Amino acid sequence: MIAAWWVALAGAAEVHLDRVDLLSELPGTWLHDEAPKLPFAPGVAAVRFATQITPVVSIGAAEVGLSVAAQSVGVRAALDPDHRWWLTTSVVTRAFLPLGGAVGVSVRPGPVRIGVSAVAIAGATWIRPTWTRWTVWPTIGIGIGRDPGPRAPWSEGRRYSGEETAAGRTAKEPNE
Amino acid sequence: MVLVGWTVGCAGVDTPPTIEASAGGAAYWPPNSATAIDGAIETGLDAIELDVSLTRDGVPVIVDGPWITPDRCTFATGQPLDPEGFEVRWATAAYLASFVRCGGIPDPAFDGALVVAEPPLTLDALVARLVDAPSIARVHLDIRYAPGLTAEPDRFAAAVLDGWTAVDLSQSLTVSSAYPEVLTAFDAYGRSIGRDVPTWLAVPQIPYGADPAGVLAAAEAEATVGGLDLVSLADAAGADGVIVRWDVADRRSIAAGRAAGLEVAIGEVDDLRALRWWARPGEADTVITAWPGEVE
Repeated sequence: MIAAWWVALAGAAEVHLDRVDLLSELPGTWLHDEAPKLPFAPGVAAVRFATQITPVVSIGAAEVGLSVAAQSVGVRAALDPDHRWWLTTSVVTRAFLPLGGAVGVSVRPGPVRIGVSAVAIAGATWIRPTWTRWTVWPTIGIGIGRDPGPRAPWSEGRRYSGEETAAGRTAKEPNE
Repeated sequence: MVLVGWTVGCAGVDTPPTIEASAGGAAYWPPNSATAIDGAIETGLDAIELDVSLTRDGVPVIVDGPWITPDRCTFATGQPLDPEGFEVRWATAAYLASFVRCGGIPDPAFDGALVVAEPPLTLDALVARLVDAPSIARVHLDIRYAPGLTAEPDRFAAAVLDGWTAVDLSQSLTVSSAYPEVLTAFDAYGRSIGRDVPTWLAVPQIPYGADPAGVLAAAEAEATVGGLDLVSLADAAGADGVIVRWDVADRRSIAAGRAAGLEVAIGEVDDLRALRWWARPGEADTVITAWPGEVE
């Protein structure tokens, strides 16, 4: 059912690599838990950094993040007409076992994305799939990818921005 | 700053961990030695961790592993042991006392540690020292069982618990092993003599002779995808707690273990920077380190 929904969604919307989160908000524990260990456990900290790097694919208003440490499926909405500020909600999984959810705000002043989220995750595993105890923590994410703003050459907003176009003329509203 | 504060606040109850002196405090004294026990008592340490093996005649001795090895021990004459050493299970307690001395070879990992050659300490001798050691509240015995290389778990359980209960000690006893069958044996024997012995499972299990780096890498991979579940492992072993290697420990699984009522110990934290990290209040219930005196 969900798969069919995703196939339909993917068919209806453009699918593209939106960004790569170098510091992922999901699960978002690296900065606080692992970065301080770099001086005395660099190997483990580096491995855990690598496993949290997350390519994020967008499918219309939906986005899917896949890393070794966590996977997520969410929806996002622009909070401003310039597509600089975004609101995102996600379901978080580990080894594709749903663990919890996240809600966050991000800003994308260009190809860089900076986000903050509140993540609620249960300690469930495939071996012990229980969702009785939850932990909530704040996370920060930094990613690099497409510029979603109106100046971006691939942005739909480009036609309506009133800015100079690639052809060198001032864009008009389509109905003018 | 607010974010960090929130995160720390969510991490758990901010109580400082119990600091256990690994091998009695191997950074200061010869590991697992009478000198270490005396030093721990004199300096007022709260808790000590010692390794236990079993001789051919069933005497528990405070020795790290199934082997007496030439990097730590010599013959009583000072002559070096064979390069392979020998298995503790082939020696009697009397043989060890008469012909073997350990602690007389400097440990390169702990340059400043005292170097004193002594006979391997027996459990009976340990117990005798603990009678007048009110400062030590907990003794943690790590049972160095190895399948095929040592006595069976039930022999360990009977010998250790009989020796421990022979004298009325004020200290509590905790037993650990990487092998669930050892913990089960101690649980069963403890019940049979009316004693509840807390047991901890050491995770991950690194078999003798295995490459620790490979085992730890596999454990890390397993943990990353949620396959290394401390609570399930402890439940399966009937353990009251777990000891997690510090270099593969992660706060999320520790928090899950503590939330499930497990005592979580971080093992062998012999790097001082790592010790400062893990000894912070709220991180774990117990930290086992050769440097117990370095924790505020």
